[in-house]
Amino acid sequence: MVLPPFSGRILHVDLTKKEISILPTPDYAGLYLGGRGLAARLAWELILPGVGAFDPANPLMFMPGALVGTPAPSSGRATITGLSPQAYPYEWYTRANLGGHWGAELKYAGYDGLIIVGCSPQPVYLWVEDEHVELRDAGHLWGLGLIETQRRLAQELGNDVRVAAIGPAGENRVRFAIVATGTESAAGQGGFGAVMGSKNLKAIAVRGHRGVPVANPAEMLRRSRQVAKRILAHYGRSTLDDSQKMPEGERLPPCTYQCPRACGRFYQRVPGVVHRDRVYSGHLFCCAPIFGSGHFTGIKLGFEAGFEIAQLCNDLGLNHWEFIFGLVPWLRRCQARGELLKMDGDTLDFSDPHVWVNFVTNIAFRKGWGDIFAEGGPRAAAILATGQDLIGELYPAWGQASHWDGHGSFPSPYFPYWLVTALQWAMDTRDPMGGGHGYTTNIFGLLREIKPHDQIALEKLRAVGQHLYGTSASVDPFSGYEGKAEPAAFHHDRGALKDSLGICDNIFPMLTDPKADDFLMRMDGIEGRDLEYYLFQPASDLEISKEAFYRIGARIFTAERMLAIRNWGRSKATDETIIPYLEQPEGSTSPYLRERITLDPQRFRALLSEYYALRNWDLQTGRPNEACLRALDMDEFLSALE
Amino acid sequence: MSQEIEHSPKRQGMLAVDESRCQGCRACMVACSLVHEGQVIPSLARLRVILDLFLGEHRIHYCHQCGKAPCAKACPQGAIRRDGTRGYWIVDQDLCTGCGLCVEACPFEALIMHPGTAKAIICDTCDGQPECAASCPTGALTWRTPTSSERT
Repeated sequence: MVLPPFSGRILHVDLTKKEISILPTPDYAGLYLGGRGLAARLAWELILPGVGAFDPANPLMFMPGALVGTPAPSSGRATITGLSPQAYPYEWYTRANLGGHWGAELKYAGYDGLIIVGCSPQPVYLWVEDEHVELRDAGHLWGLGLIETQRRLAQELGNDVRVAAIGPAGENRVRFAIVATGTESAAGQGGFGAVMGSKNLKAIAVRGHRGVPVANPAEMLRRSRQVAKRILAHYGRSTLDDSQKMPEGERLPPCTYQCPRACGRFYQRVPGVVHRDRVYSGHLFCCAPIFGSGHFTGIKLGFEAGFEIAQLCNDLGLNHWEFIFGLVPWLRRCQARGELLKMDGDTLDFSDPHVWVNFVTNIAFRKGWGDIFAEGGPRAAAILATGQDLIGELYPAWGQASHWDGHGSFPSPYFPYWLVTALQWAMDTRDPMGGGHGYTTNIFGLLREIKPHDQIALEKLRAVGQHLYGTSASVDPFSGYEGKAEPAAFHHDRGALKDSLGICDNIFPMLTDPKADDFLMRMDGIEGRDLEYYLFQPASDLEISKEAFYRIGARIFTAERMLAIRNWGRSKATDETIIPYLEQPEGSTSPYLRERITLDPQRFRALLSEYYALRNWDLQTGRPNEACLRALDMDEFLSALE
Repeated sequence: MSQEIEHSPKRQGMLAVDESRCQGCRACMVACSLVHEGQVIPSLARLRVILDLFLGEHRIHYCHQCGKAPCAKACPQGAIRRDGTRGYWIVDQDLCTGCGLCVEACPFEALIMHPGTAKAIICDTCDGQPECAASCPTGALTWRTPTSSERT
């Protein structure tokens, strides 16, 4: 029997057969929670070897986290998983994370998740209102942008309907197409918008009137308010710097249901620079301000033009990250040596906003040369047989561009801190930051507050490493390769747990606090690292110890590993594919070491082994061994080891 | 009916709403429904945040505890009256027949029909300690003492 906060029902839609059914939420939800965890365990059963991202058999799963719908702060997030068309070289199983109000609405409609299989012969959208589930013709929506699609569906179904949809990029199977809701809440990485497009599914509209059960309502409310208050005190509100502050038409709504924080900004009625007859309103989060500010890219378009391009990408259904950290830096490096300056007579001068608008539009509609870039950087370079060496400098692994790894187009953090994110990259199936900001946010964030010659602060920092990860070397600026496997594994697990609860990656885990005497986060005497458990307890009737609760993350990560081993032969050799990328000089210089460090591949291979040993994986093959699986209650995975 | 309204006690507190501060997180609706329904059912919250995700401006539908009380005037059963001690409007669930005239009459769209009981429900201010305001992270919802002119 499935207990609160689960409703016990998963909606299953077969688009080929036009069959709608309700599956019971499996009992193992208690071992994997919701969101990414439940999806990973379901994928073990549903995704068999030999299936590609655009095959109708690819199951596209929409899984709100276990705390979604409860009062837990920032708990509005759903994980979208399936076989990813952006993943490279294999279209393997991975995940993306969607904020906004959509995931919670699915819970309020009475479902722990939604699985879509098959392919509709013509464009459809799915309409879910509690028990009423219906596939409707979407001929009138096909070709529309994400914003107009949501507006039309609000007219058809009512203003309070919540819609997750794709834009033209998804329809045209652009490999980095997003699934989005609102103006900028998107499942960005992975290209799951293209999977929806391949299934001829334009949108999923939801309205719910049912309830999300909470085991202990009064205590849940009390703890949620307490944690929300701590979040606000610690993080404050918008994280965008003052260059992104606008005198008027600016508001601070959060990207996700139940979030007290509002880390981005919402701009209203910003005039277009290229389309002068238009005004744009929308959120700006994460990497989107970079279009205008030029931070990292060196192409400073100015706020208005940058905002216009960011919002056009949202409306067309394109992933900002691929442009800012992948495709455009790659093209500019090609251009610096005289290649790809023009395509079919069109200049690709990215200092011109008109070129940008043309570029993103052609890609979304796969028009002319846009068809090539719609494949994403690594595949486009292969098709053009140009700049393939430069792809290796900008895409660490798995078809995704640099992200907090200290190299390529993301020069931060400096050595040895990027060793931890590099390990996270090596063992993951996507850029690891969809749930893995924890180390950079907490440790590198703390480091920014410390002066390099402050010996007392450094000693406190080492004690933080000892306390959180069991080794002071894990955070020590002089520690080199020592003690980096521990934080990598810790944040792999915490990331998986967080994504299975449906809480925000930029907030949790809350581990450090530069204002505290010992730099450790606390809330009324409770340690920051225990806050997820503190929130989960009153929400759930599941009897689970703190240790068992935090072991769920390891179980989810291991389940994803087992799937990659069974279906794609994942091995130590696969994990090592990131090494050539790391052998280029790092992007910034540590103020402690005062020189740029280049990776020592032998020592990094030894770090991989250290990581495997921590997890009880085979040191030669990188496979979880029998003892590892049994300790995690994963006996059903044992057959795959034979 | 009108006689009962005139003889009602003075209000001791009121929900103050600043829509410009509302960020649309809906923590208020979650708290309200959890307290009143025992589960999180935002569609049964006694106040509603109407989101405009495309302009970032949100409206809040709530009971203004107004003196004119068109809801009470519209009720053919006299089921809507002021609470005896705190003075906020309540719907007497024994008298309510579920005709829905109050829902239509309220200019603030504050009342809704409960699908379970088929009777009207309205904000009860949580007896002067509103859970919505306690959960609001921005101060868009606060509980304060009314000024003398507001004490109708």
